[in-house]
Amino acid sequence: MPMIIMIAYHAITAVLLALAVWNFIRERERRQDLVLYALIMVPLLLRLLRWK
Amino acid sequence: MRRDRALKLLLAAVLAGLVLWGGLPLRRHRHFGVPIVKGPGVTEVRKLSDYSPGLEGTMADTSVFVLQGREPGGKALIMGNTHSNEPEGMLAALIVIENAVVEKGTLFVIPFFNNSGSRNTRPGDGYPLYFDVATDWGARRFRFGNRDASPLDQWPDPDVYIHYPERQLLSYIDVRNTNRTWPGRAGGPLMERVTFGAMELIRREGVDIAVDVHGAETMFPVTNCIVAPEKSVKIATLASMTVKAAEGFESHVEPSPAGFRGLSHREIGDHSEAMPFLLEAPIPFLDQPTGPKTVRLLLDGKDPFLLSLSKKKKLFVPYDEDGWPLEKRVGQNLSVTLEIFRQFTKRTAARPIDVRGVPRYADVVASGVGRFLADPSKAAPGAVVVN
Amino acid sequence: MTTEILIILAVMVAAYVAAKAARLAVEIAMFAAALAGGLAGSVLGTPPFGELARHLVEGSITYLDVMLVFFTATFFMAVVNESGGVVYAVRATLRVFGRRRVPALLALMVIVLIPGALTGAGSVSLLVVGAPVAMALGRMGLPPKRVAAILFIVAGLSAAAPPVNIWAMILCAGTAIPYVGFEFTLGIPVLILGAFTVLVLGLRKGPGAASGPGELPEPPQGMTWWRVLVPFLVFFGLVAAYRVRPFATPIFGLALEFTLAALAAILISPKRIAVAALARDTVKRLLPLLATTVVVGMLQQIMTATGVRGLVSFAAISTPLVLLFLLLPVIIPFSEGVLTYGAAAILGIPLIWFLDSIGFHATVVIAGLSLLWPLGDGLPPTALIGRLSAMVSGYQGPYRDFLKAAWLPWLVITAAAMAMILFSTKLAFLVKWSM
Repeated sequence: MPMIIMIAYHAITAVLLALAVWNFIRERERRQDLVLYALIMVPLLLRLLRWK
Repeated sequence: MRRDRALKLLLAAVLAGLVLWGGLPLRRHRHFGVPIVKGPGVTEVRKLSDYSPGLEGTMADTSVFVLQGREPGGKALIMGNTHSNEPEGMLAALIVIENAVVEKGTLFVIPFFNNSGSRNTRPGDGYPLYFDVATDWGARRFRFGNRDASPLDQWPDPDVYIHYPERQLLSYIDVRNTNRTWPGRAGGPLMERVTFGAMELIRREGVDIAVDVHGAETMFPVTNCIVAPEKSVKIATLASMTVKAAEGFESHVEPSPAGFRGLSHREIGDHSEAMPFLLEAPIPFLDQPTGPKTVRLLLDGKDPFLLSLSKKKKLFVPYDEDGWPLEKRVGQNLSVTLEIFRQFTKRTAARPIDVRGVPRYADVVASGVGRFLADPSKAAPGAVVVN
Repeated sequence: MTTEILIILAVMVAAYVAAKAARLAVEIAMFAAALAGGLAGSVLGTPPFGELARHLVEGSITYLDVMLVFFTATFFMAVVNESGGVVYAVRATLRVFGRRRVPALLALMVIVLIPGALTGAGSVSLLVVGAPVAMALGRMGLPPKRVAAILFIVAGLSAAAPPVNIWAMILCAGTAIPYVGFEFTLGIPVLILGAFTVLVLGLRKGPGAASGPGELPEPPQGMTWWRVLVPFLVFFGLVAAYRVRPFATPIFGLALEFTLAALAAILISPKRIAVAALARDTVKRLLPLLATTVVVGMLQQIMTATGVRGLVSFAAISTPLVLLFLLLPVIIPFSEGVLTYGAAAILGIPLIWFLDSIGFHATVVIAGLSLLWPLGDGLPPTALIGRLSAMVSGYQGPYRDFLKAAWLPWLVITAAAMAMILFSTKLAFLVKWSM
């Protein structure tokens, strides 16, 4: 069970990353938001790569 | 539109660069192996998963060095890196592994007790990733870890950690702290399996003494001391008095509070026949009001802010321009451990623990920690264990 | 050393001010401060330039779990809202309480207190029940400014309320004091201060309020009580299961608990939910908060690696006791505004050790301090709870004005907290009652 839960957490992280990437690609009006999307991707990538 | 695309590409490139440049060192740290040389007294190397099968194949599994004496006697367990940001425990354990010869009794030594924690860093706290200890033959490099296990090995945390079996509420982060998860469960969260493994070792091998070696802030009231529950307090007091009289350093006795659960000095004694002791040597690096968290501060323990606070009597240990260097911390941990063995042997003649070859406080302070660390590159084939 | 650190601190402040002057978002300004501080540190020796990226990246992950909770909890409530559950619940609440204003206000206060008390996060209270409670308060004749003020203060108190108070837990974990004895020590002040807040800010109707319950939109066909309640039962059931049977229940964690509750809400919604669009919109709305959690971690890491954090802690500890007590009502909330939970470790741990050693009762002092910290969640630059309160209550005016509306509860909470700290030994009976 702990393993399944841990996989679920990686999945939640992946979903959030995917949504951030999607919004990043679609964003057309607010340039500053692009920077914010890039920032929030850092920890998500780090966890999904299992580097940290 | 074209400018937007250019900006997005630029940001994506910066992001990739940042993650690679900043992230790869973290990955390397997690997978960096520390070589340990089997000293003259090591007779066997086991894994903690031998006692807690739930650890097998995980980053939390760790090496248990067995030093079987020439004659039978009492048994003792030494644990370092319960908190992997307190390296004076791990180094004391390593010096025992690489130098000790056991005449009577048996030693079990676990230098990286929270192995996952030693492969974790502490986000937000700006620690160095490694530290080098100078030796006669060059520098020996160690991972500088975290107090808590890595979320890569145990994720998520609960919103509150409920201690087994007492049900005391503890901070959510303590579910990854191997000095809050004692006595542990075979099928509990990973860190409970770690402490359960140690409990099983203690129970199955009939361990008499368990020494958990730590470091603590100079501003923490429970520092520079031996923490002992009721059953260990006599030996702790004798050891404390002896090191003060014979070796000239202070390490007072603190009672283990009965109402604070999950700590080794409380639960080992309550769930086995063994007598637990927790050693705390002052480590200025961990104090909050210090300058930058550098390797130098970790090694020499010198900090101008702490010096100023010491003059205002806000520290719990004497502190001057000499700081509180690693040699003193490791040396006092070794001397107190040896003294606990000696006092136990005096009181329990039928189960003697007689260990030779381990330096004491004065030796380490005079010659440095590195003097007692072996050179893995010169070790005999098969004599190096990487942890 | 002090001079170098002061230079780094000055560079950080200058970078923040310059970024704000260039009309950059607060999160980008904070990132600029972290980056500039790291670079200044590299020039002056610590951290080495080669480690700068590692520090930024490592700091970014400090609050990853908080970020996931923000995302999953907001998504869960977005689903409930989309399915018509919020409107349904608000209509029912107003029907039950009718014109009885005091019990209605107290009931709404308890509703806001519960999620935060169980999880230790005021943000969870706002994300889960903030929107319906705000709607109910609006229908009771309160203008959005006062609704936001009530939500901000009560959500802050919910985070401090037992059984889970994260500031107290961080302090207990860091000072090796058991996390016990807080039930009455925190519970009684939280209930009194919460009641005071809702009554002071909510008893009077105000101009600009929404109209009565009759004009609320109709909930979708097929919406029933159980459709509203089941997702919440899933969430609270999972939270409670670990409390009731901790050794037989796996650790789900808040983010997964919210995800499962959201799945339940999607499955039983009377109308089809466009999940992907809703999730994307959730991330868009939450973007500033998510970025704040990332940037605060970076800032904290750089401040520690350069010694700035140590200097701040040193300055607080070196302050003479009387002056320290005078400054606590300012520096504690301010530290939270800059560093969020990180402040508890930096200032709180040495402070508790020090006060404990001179005879104060540590548990009561921790309880007192943890009433002050949530106030800082309304202060810039982070203002996590303040911004969420404004968001869920639909308040559109200047941020400063809504904060001003909370001045009286703010003062009373500060006075109560300081009284708990100063007279900690006299209040030790609260700890005994709790044991």
